Amino acid sequence: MANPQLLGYHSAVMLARMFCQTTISTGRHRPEQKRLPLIVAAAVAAVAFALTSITQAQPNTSVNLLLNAAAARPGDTVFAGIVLESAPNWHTYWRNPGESGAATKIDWALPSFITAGDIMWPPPEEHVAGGLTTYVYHGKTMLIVPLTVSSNAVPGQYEVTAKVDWLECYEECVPGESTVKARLEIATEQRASPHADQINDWLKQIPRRYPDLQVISYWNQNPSGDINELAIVVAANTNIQPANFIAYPIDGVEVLPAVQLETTAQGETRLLKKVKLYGAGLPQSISGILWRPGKGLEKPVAVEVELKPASSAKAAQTATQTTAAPTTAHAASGVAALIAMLGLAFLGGLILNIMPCVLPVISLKILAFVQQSKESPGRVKKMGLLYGLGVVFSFLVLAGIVIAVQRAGGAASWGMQMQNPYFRFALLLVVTLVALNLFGLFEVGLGATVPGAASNLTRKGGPFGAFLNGVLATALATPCTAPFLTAALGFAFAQSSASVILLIFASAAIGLAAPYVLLSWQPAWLKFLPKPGPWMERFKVAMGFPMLATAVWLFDLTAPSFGDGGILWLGLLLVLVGVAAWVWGEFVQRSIGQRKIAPRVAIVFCLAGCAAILEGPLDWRHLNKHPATGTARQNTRGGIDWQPWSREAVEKARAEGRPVLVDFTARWCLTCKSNERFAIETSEVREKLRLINAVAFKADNTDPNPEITAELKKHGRAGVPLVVVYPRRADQPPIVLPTVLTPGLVLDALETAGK
Amino acid sequence: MKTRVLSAVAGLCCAFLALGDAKVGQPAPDFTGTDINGKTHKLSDYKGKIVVLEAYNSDCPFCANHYKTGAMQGLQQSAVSKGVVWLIVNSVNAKHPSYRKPEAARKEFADFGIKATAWIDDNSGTIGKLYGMKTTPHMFVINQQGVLVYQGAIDDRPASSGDPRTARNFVKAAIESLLVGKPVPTPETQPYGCGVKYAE
Repeated sequence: MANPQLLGYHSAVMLARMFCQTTISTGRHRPEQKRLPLIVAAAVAAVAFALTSITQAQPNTSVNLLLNAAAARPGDTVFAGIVLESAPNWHTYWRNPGESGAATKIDWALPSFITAGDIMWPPPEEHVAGGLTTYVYHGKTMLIVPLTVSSNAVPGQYEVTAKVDWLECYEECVPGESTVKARLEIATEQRASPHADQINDWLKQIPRRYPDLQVISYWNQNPSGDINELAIVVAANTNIQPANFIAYPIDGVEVLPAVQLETTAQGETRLLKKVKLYGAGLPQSISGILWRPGKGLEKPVAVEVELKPASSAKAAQTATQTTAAPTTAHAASGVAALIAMLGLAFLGGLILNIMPCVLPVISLKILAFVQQSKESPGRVKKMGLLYGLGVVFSFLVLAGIVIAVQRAGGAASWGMQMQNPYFRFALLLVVTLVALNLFGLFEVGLGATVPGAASNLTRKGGPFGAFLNGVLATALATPCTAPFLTAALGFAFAQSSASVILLIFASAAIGLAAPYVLLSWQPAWLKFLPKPGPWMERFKVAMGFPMLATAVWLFDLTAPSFGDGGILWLGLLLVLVGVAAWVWGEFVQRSIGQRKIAPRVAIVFCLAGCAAILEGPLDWRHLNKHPATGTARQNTRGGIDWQPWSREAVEKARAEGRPVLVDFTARWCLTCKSNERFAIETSEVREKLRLINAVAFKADNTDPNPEITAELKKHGRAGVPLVVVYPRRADQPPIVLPTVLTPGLVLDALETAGK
Repeated sequence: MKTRVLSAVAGLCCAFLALGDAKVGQPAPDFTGTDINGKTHKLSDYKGKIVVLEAYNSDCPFCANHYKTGAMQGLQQSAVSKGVVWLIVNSVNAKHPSYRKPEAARKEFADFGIKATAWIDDNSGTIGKLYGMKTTPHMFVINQQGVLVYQGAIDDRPASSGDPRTARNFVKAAIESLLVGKPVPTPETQPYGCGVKYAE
């Protein structure tokens, strides 16, 4: 018994068995020429046998024919539902079966005055098995066919007959065939059948075409061999949220199943599909469905689109600009979008200079400029450039980290290094030392330390110092995002292309560094700065205080990572660092003595004390066991009743018909904090939330959370802050608020959401 | 300078994408396989001959139709008689009910009157995956110089019933062109059929 399966499923193969016995009995060493006619004869018999063996009982899929009308008038259209119900795990195929399988076929036998239309297919499931993706139906499905009764139909009782051919697969594939019949009366009155509601329910699932759906498509200009890339851009204000585009079959063209999903800066969804051509040219038109899988037991959802891809992103853009509404006009993609984004990144970088994060560093820069005003222009230029290089270098390092994280399959976000307790700790140390330096405890300079040069403010900071200043500016800038920068970074983070990420980061870096580089190259502008003098010493010390405030803020962020004793021991550690810095400045840098052994020993003791604290009470090797955030401390008394965010919780609240406010935030995110303080945690907003019976969720991104990162990306943001308001009506799209909020913006959004 | 670095990065990404299946117009990847009679076949040993690879699973209705109608045997017979080496590659994993142990395979080979040169037992899926065989029947034609000149469907009729001889057979056309020294008219098509049932 060589092949019991085949025998079990198709009686035609029985003939092959009979034939095999014939060959065996006639001897297996029979010459080929004599055997061939025998094969042909057997084959012909097998075909004949296969053709006569119709409707065999199929154990895995049952077929039924339902009509939505018991009686129809001449001129009516009746919907016929072919119900396919497969046993668990077995599936039948959609019109495009995918990489294997075969679509179900229906042949109609109808009275002459009835014509059958094309099959209307419900959205399929995506089924991946053995590395192949197919589009299938499990369980019960209904293929719907419109039957048009012509106006010359003669009243009477008729029979409609459908021969259904399908392939069903599970661990193996079995072809099925069944002929199903239904009765239809042609009369002067319409009469619904008992199945009308059921067919109606299925009709609702059939992907529809929406003429005003804003979808543009174009071919990307990077063909590799016979693989082309099709980009499909779906406008942001639609409710589709497609997870894929599944094409209807086209001769000689295969739209591969994999998809690359991106959110553009405008919040559009961009789907990139690889298209393989088999000899044919690029198709002028590709029809298919924008599709999203069902959650849990829900069925997948889809809308039908006919794409007429433009020859390039640019052509698509021009076409949209000339034909479509202004909202889609800036639905720029490709090169134009990139240039726009680079501009935004530059602007954002520029604005970062006046965000609270970088202000302390600016004080350092102003001092440096005043000092340098007397120096040779060449040197000033050099320092300016080095500072700029420091900024660009650190931004490129950040971009490199983002690319590496994305390549490794992780989710990257702006400011994500602030999620790392070690980074926060290192930054805290640096900022504390900078503050102490500004207070004059010690000097920074990598050149010779001149004894007695304590107040020598004109001393030239080394080139390396200028570079490090740029690095520090970047490190301190990341907890802030500025307007414009969010859009550009959101665009960058949604890119898979490393070069685009690098370019956008570089552009933001140039924006951040530009004012100083320009100033240093235009020494004439420096004339407006006051002359150097004793005021500089005071100004320097005064600037130490904002730096100290930054240190306190970082301390507040960092200490909880060290657990219960964190505040005490981290504080003591910083005091020891301060002592070491003072000893170094007072007894090494400024001492006239030659040997300076004792102070150095003292510094070593201080540092050893720091190490002991780190190893002992702070247990710095096991930081991750102490998450920096505790949900307990999120709610202030009398404030908004924040619930911890999760996608399910939001869905549940929406299912209950309640509007939802979500605040994506992090403790290190200064922009978030200022938004919350001035625009969200206000009595008006609280009152509004209560009035419209909304639920408020807080999504805390202080520590890494891939789910939050994914949600940010979905809304086109690279990082926090993000505030989203979901309207009461589930069919309305969420309202995404801008980066920097005013109370009015939040109240307006809540007002709209409550309707 | 920066642009050069960027293009290098971009080039690297493309290089990763290019890894994978056998490519039409490229030398066919060499392999060694053992047939159901225990004989080993090395692709490079057949240089100078046309080689056809047929991804096979007779429990798949598409394959079964080509055999039960005798169309496949007829094509094999005609090809082999002209010096073509026709290798059936069965990559169904050994735990699957459609896998044939060598003894069962030898019987099926005889029962169906298969005319291929050999039936290679590839239950590890090595050869199948090397060539990117997706479905049964997924066909490959390698020319006398060892270059892959056709990959895809056997014909333009993805059906599990009816007579395949009414269809346009791409493998037949490829072999005929190669025999008279002409380029293969259709070098690539989308394969159809059932999934191969590789080992996980």
